Amino acid sequence: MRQYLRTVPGKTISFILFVLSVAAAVLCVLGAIIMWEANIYTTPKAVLLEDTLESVVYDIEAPILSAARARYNGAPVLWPNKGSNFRFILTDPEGKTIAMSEGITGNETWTYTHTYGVGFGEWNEEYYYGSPSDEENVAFVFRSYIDSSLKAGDAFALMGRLIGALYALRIAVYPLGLLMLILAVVCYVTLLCVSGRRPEDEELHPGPLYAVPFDLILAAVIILALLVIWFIIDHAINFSHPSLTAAVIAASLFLGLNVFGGLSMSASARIKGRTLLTNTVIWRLLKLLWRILCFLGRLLKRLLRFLLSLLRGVPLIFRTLLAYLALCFINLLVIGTNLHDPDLCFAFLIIELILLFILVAYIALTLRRLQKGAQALAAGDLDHQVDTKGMLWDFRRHGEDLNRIGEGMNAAVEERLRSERLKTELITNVSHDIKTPLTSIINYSDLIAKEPCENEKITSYAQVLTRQSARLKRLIDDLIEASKASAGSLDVVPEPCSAGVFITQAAAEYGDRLKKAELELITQLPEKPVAIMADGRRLWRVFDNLLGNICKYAQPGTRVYLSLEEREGSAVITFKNVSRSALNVSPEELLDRFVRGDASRHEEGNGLGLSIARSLTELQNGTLELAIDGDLFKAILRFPVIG
Amino acid sequence: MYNILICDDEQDIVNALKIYLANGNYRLFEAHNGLEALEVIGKEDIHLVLLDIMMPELDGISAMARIRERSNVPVILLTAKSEDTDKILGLNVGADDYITKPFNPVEVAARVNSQLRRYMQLGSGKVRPGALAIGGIELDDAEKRVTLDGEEVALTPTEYDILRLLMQNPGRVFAPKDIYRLVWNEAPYGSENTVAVHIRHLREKLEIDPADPRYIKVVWGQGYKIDKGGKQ
Repeated sequence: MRQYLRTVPGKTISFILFVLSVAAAVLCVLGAIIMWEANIYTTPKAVLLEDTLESVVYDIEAPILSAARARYNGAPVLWPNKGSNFRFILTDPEGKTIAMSEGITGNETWTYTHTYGVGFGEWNEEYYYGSPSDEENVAFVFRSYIDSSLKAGDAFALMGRLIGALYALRIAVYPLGLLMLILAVVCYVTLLCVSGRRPEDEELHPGPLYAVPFDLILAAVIILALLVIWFIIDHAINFSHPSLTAAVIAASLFLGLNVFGGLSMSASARIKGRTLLTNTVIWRLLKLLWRILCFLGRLLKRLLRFLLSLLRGVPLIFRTLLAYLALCFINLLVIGTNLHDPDLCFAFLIIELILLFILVAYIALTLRRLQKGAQALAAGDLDHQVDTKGMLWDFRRHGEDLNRIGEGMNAAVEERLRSERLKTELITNVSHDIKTPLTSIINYSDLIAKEPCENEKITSYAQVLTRQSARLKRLIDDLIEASKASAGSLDVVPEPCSAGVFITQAAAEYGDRLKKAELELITQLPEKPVAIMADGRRLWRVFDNLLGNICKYAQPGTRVYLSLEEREGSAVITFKNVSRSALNVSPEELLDRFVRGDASRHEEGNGLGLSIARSLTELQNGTLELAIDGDLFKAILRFPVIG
Repeated sequence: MYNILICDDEQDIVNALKIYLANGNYRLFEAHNGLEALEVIGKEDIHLVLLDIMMPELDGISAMARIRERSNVPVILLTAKSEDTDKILGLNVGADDYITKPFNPVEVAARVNSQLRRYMQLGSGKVRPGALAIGGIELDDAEKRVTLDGEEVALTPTEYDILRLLMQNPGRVFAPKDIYRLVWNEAPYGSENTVAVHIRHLREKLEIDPADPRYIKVVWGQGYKIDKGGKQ
């Protein structure tokens, strides 16, 4: 069914059905209106039939009267009954019969009795119509009845059948009209659905009119309709020919209905193809207009940009001056020409002040943003980006410059880190390569030293070799560690640990060595445990280096103090000892690589210990500080205390 | 008479090691890369391997892995790389011990002895009932005796108690305070130092290199512990 409706015959049938059902519905409505007008719903059938037939009787009586008077010659004129249901007898003013239907016996029951004036039919028929019952003019009398069988096919029979039909239909028009209306709607919806479709697929197959802009078609239809209406009003409405007029109007309406159906189908197909609005002349015109506006907008923007670039060419100071002068000029111009109207001047000043406030506020906010960015950069946050969104003119350029500084510095820092790492890698690799021959040197010098030999010198020389190669070994290990620590390529895993336990452990580890160096270690711990975040092994290396230095450089027979305090949220670990030789370097220099307290450098040690200690401490978010007071040497470690 | 394979691409180092191990009643074999080492192990009944890591043809780590596919002979790695990550890698692929170059000859001899004793005399899993064993350390609570790789070690009663505490809870970290309370049965008051000194002595008696202990580990800033199964 659905597929069939999509075929051409299906569509055609739907269309015809639609037109017919609309026409039928209209006819039903019209019929109902006419029947109301004719009182069919309020008058009984017999009464209406009689009244109607009487009006026909009037119509035929006048010509019969004229003809009878003309043909009267003393004897009654006999009227043939053939083809008529009308029976009558006509008498003149004297009561003589001048005409009668054939077969009248005088015993009939007359239904209608009409009188006509004497002059009737001589001058003007219409003259007497108005007063046929005027007593003074009563002259001719028509007595008539109608054969109720209505066998003959005359006007009475027609009228009788018509009224019979009307009475039969007077109730039926309502359901019929409703039915037709429903059918019309169904057909209409069907038409809308099948428009542009074909039975074989679900694609849109628009008709040939599809390409024509819809509003063009609509305009053509409206113009046509207006022409038809104008024609009907001006020419076709002619009351002397009512049936012709009605025919023309009906034909026009029928045509209009067809056009409406076609138009609806086209619109439906366009909606399906989403071209109802786009395939219109108006749409195309609007689009063209929009394009023109866009083009003009671009042109204007380019012009503005050109002017701005011209303005930007002017140095900042001159530009500011220029703006200031322009403002002064506008002020002078407006106020000077409106001195007579102080209200206007006042209003102008208020507006100007508001605009200036907006400008000043904008400048202040933008400057604040730039300032924040610069502060962040100065504080070392090189990743900070100034948000230049919404900034104008020189502010934007300044913000972008600041961002570029950050980028440039970031690149430099990264480059430095990279080269540090490369350096560390190089040192590590070289150190590994040095270690292999060093192993042989150490081993064989050891073997020489152990070899029983008469020449004591050889043994002592071999011992020097052994001692120095051992120093070289330590130097290499320290070198690797120092370069790794300063390049930050050591992985540090801080864990909560107790600084007090640390000092206890370190003191125990170093107990023997300190005793050997004739030093007395005194540890001072607080009662309360102090917890810090540190990588135990790395922190031990720091302690190892500091205590190792003490063993090497402290004056034998003195006391060494190792103390822990909690001060202002920091765990402060202090190493105190008395130096054996005079310290004539600054603490800062001591922390540099390869700098040692004794200028002669003949002591064991390589000057890397403190540098490593500081790097490792800093990797754990701590600080190492050295203080020298005469011969008193202090190393102070600080770590943040954790709750 | 034990068979020891020395594998290093540097002939001088091989010779030095041979000299150091010569008076230890060992039969010494030598190889100069990983492939040669595998060849020797295939032919001879080797009881211990000293293996260098950086060698041509086949490096020590790969050779190590191949050795472990068929034998659990003790392997001591010898290498110039001294960083912790290298040590961990070596031990993870199956080495029994690790010596960094340049090495102390005495230490090499000690480690070789230790590994051989454990491998040959004790075997694995031969623990006396009622004894605690971790790595080469065995503690017999009934006889109050401690042996390291089968050799008896003389400990003071306090050292013995501390060792027993640590061995009874392998892997657990004891703060000096806790050790004091559990061993001395007294409230610790400023006596942590004593504990630390005892532990140091214990390490000197039980470890070949007390600064780089295999068993009794210092957890810096927290306390002391014995790892489960030592370094293996």
